[in-house]
Amino acid sequence: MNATQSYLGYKILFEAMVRFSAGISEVKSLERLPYEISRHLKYLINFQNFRFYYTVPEGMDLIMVDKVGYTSYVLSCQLDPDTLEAEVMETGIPGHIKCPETGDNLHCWKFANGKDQHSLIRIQSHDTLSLAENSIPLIKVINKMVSTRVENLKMVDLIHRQNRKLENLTVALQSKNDEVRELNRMQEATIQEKTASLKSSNSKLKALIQFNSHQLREPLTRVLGMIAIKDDIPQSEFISDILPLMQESVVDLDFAVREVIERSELLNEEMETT
Amino acid sequence: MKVFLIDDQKITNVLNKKYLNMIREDLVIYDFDDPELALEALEKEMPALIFLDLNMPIVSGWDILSFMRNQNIEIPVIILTSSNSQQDRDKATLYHNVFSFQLKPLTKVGFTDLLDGALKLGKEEDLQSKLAPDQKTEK
Repeated sequence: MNATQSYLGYKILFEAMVRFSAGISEVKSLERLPYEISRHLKYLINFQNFRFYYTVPEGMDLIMVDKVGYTSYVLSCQLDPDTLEAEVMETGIPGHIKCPETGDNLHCWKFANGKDQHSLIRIQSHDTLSLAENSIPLIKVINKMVSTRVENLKMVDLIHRQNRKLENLTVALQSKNDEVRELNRMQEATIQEKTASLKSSNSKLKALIQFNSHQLREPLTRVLGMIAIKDDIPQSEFISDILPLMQESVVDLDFAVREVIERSELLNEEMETT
Repeated sequence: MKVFLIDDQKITNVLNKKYLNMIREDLVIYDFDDPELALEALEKEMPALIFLDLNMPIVSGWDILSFMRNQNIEIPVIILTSSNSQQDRDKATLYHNVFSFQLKPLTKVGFTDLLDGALKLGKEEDLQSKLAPDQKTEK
């Protein structure tokens, strides 16, 4: 009879444990965790108020669940120094006090989960015996499951945050990349433009030089030719045949010089404006 | 011996004619300041030598050279130009009847050398048939 009863009790406890474990392992965010705990915890232990503290670099995260369904998750809070939790946190010795007003029992345990990582569980309950004796292994298992889940979810959070950072970085990089590409494109266009304008001025200058050399040399050679023949013919012939034609050639030369200057100035203006 | 002077500047032709007459007395000189007239006279007169300017309006020296090549007119040509461009010199080598490229102004010494050169060349090549017989008959 007794054996059957305790067998049944274990079976129910086992069932509740499975549901608790499955429930919290399906939770996808820390904020959702207290609610899931409150759904299943009442089948495991008899409590008025349940608190789970989890050490983080900035202090402690706190999960609060009470019997009527109030739940919350507090990030990075500090322990009140005069509380039972603070004492247990410091000494590591499980604590138990009786609340003078309500007559409730306050139990608190400290757990070491890994290197420099601790958690506290504080339970406010009407009874004391069940908690103090039968429930200790149960509390340990609950701590193990909750702290593992908190650690996992924090890890997932961290990965998500890092992913987001990476995404932001990628976007920033891409936009920088686009900027650089745009700058390159603009520079290339400027270089091409400059090259084209240089090429065009170059060929204009070449054309001008060619024009100048011929334009000036042609009348000049005529004058030179006339001067050269002076000693080869009689002076009277030079005066009658050559001299009258010389003036024409000199005027042509003067005209050519003027035109050359005019063209150079025109080209100068043209190149300055482009 | 017939010689053509083709230059759009009348004074150049006048000067060149004077020099040529100084050097040799047996030359029959035709001077053209209108290259189009020279083109027309070419086939009819068939001169032994042509002094040719390059830069002329409407019909250039190049036009005359091309015309001669197309008509298979084989007359030795001396280019006499005021342009010392290498481009023109290179282009002139493409016409095999051009045997000299001279810069203006050409003086008495220059003309003497050129005529001597033209006569020597004529003894070796087909110039002979044009220059030499004339020379004999004139003398």
